[in-house]
Formats: sequence, structure tokens, C-alpha cells
Amino acid sequence: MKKMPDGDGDHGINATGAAGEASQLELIKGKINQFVAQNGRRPRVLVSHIGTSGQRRTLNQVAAIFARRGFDVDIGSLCQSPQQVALMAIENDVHIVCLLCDPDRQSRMGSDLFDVLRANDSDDTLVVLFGDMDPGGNRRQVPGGRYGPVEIRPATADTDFITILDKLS
Amino acid sequence: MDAEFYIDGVLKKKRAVIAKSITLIESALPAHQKLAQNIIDGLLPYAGNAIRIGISGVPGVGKSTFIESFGMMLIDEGHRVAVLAVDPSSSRSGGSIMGDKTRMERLALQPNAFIRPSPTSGTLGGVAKKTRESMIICEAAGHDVILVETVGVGQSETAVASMVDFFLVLMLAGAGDELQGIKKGILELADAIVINKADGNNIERAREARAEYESALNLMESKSSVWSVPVLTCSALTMDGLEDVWKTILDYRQKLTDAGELAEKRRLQSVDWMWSLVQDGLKDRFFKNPKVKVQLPAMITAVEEGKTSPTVAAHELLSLHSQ
Repeated sequence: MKKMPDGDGDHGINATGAAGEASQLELIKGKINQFVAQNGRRPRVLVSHIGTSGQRRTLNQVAAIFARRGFDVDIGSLCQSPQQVALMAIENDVHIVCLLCDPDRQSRMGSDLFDVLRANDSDDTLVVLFGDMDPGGNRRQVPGGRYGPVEIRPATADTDFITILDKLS
Repeated sequence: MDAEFYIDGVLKKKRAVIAKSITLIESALPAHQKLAQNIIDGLLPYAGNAIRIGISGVPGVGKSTFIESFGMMLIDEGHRVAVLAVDPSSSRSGGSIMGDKTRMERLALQPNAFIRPSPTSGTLGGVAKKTRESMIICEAAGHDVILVETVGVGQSETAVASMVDFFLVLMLAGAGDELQGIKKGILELADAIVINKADGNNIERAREARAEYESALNLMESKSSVWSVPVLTCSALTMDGLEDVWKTILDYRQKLTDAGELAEKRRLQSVDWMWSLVQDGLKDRFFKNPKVKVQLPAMITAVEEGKTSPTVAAHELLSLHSQ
């Protein structure tokens, strides 16, 4: 299979140098292949939004970031409740829920979602939060499923992807 | 977990178990596939009573919105609806993006609905490879209407048409040259053509399009002795005409059942199913063959660089496989 050129169009995400980026992408690709070999399918992620104000465009962008790195992505809806997100996560049988929330409510929404997942015996789902949360720097811990919390921050997205894949395996 | 666990859970309509069963069916792991086969075997006696409807149309025709509205109407009438989306778009690095469900927001929240989009990445050729099996699961879980969504491009629609009772093709009005560009193939597959978005000031154009499609269909030979393909108009947005679409499907089922054609269709589809499994199995074995694995990269390079002709390369690979 031909190697595809990569590294454009991520809207400022991955501001690392080209060489470092390439090797990280290779690393992610390797981990994904390993995951497929063990699980029989790609890691599947639901990207969804809980809260009151969100943008469709952001959801689509985050979905594209995951897909480009080899994840299968379900795009959820805006302004969902934790119950609605959990229902879709269970029905689509995803490994990961990547949550976009209103900044001030992120930690709580993450843990609410996890509670619903646990109530439905789906607490092996990894809950991750997208974005720079709590701009003031007050980063609270989120109970993020059996695997613990992961945050994806635009500046270090690829490192965060590696963390996610490590937690899944 | 053994097959019993899944069979039991599916029959008890447990959403999480239905979901996990479909995952097993779609898995590439031999152990999962074996388990999935046992699950399917156990559930087959409980399946087959649903009406299976394929829904196709070009991107932008409003398939998801149609399914949302049509599905909600059926739920309101007391049906249990399952939606299997076969052909989502794939990104170049291999991950699929499945976004249709966001356009089925109301249906997605119904306790009597089950919506499952499937990634296509990594499957060789057969986009709808596992949809038949997923249909069996949904039927055994008591879903009496199965909607299989497919994008109106490539071979996926042929594949879907070969596994459903009724193949519905959505069209748009107003594109004057559309009829010219349309593949004759899709008209041959259709059991009904439905012109969507017949609302507002588009109604008149939808009527014109309807007449055009009707005359196009007149030129074609009929597939069935008891059914001539109708052209309908509807608006998934305002729900206008959806009831007529459903009546048409029921009428079709009645007529074909009475004539024995539906049973015949399903018999032929079972044979199709067998052949497609044989094909998948052969392909799978080919790619897993150690000799092929070793030779394949060099062979691809040789063909790319023009050093070996495609015919010679194919012949050599196949003889490696049969050694």
C-alpha cells in the first residue's frame, strides 16, 4: 500500500516539527494496526457534545482528526444529555467516547456520562475530553472509565492519541 | 462469553448484546467469526419475518432524513425498526466517518429503534459483507422492519438489492439532465422510485420528474409478473407521501407473496448469500496464504513499474495460492 502524505489541514493542530510529527504518526499507525490485529476491528470512537452551546463544525473537525489517524468515527449530535450519548455509544459499540462540552462543565459531564455507562455495564468504554479545558488552568480530574481520564489538547493531540491507544490495549 | 449468552441476550432484546453481536459479526478475528457463526445459526430460526427494505440514492438526496421520518412513522404505528447503514465514507488513512445517525436524532432515541452504521474500512471489496448477518440479529431481536441504507454509487447498491425484499431508490426533482446521467442499472434494481423533497415550490418540479421517470420505466422490461415499478413523490421534511410509500411496500409484499415470488426471491438470495460467503472465504484464504503474503509486495511493485504485466502477475499469484 502506498504511503499517503500527511500533515495538512488539521487547523493548527499538531504544531510540532514535521519530522517529529511524521514519527508520531507512524507510531500511531503501528499501534492502530496492533489494535486491529488483537480486536478484529479498528478502534471506534464516538465524538459527541454535551451541553448547551456547541458547533457542528468543531464536531466534524475532531471526527476528521480521529479518522485521519485510523480510528473509525461516529459523529454524534450537539447538545446531548449524558444518557443520549451513552445510548449511542452502547448501540454503536464504540471503544471510546470523545466528549466536547461547554468549558465550565466538562469535568462534571464527563463523570455523569461515565456513571450512565457504568449503570449499563459499559464502563469499559474510555471517556476522553477534547479541548483545552478550564482556560484558567484549573484542570480537574475526570473519572474516565476503567482506563482513567485522558484529555486531548489541540497542541499535543498526537501524544494524546498515543496515550489513548496505550490505555485501550 | 459463549454463543448462548449472545443468543439469549438478542432474543431478550438487550441493546448492548445486540450491539456486541453485530461487532462480532463484523470482526476480522477468526475466533470472533466462529462465535458469530454460532450466534447466527442459533438465531436463524427466529429471523426471516421482517420486511427488508433497501434504501438507496445519491449523496444529498435526503436518505438519512427520509429514514428518520419514515422510521418515526413506522414506530408510531407500533413497528420495531432497525437501520443498518452500509456505506459510509472512508477517509484516506483508513478510518471511516459515520455521520448519518446525527440526521436521525429522533429515531435514534426511540426504544423500538436500533440504528447501526458500519465502517467499511479494511473490508475487501464487499461493502455489504456482513449486512445480511446483522439483519438476522436485528430480526431475531424482534425488529419487524429492517432498513438498509446504501449510497447510490458503485457495487454496494447491487449488493444491498440482493439481500432485501424491496429496493427503494430515492431521487431528486429538478435536475434536468439527471435522467440522462442516471445509470440504467439503478432503475433495473428499483422496486419503487420515490422523488424526495417534494415540498414548497419544489412540488411542481417533483411532479414533472415523476412523469419523466414513469416514461423512462415504461421502456424497461418488468422484473416481476405482478409488479410494475411505481414512481412516487414525498417529502421527508413535511412527512407528505410517506404513508403512501409504506402502503406501496405492503402492497408489493402482498402481491409477491400471493404469487409466490417473494419466497422465490428469498430462496435465490440464500444462494447469493452462500456464493458471497464463498467468495469472501476464497479472498481471505488468498491473502492469508504465506506464499502469497511474501510475493505480493514485490508483485505489486513490478506491476506498478510496468516490469510485469497485470495478467502475468495475477496468474502467478493465483498459482502460488493453489500450490
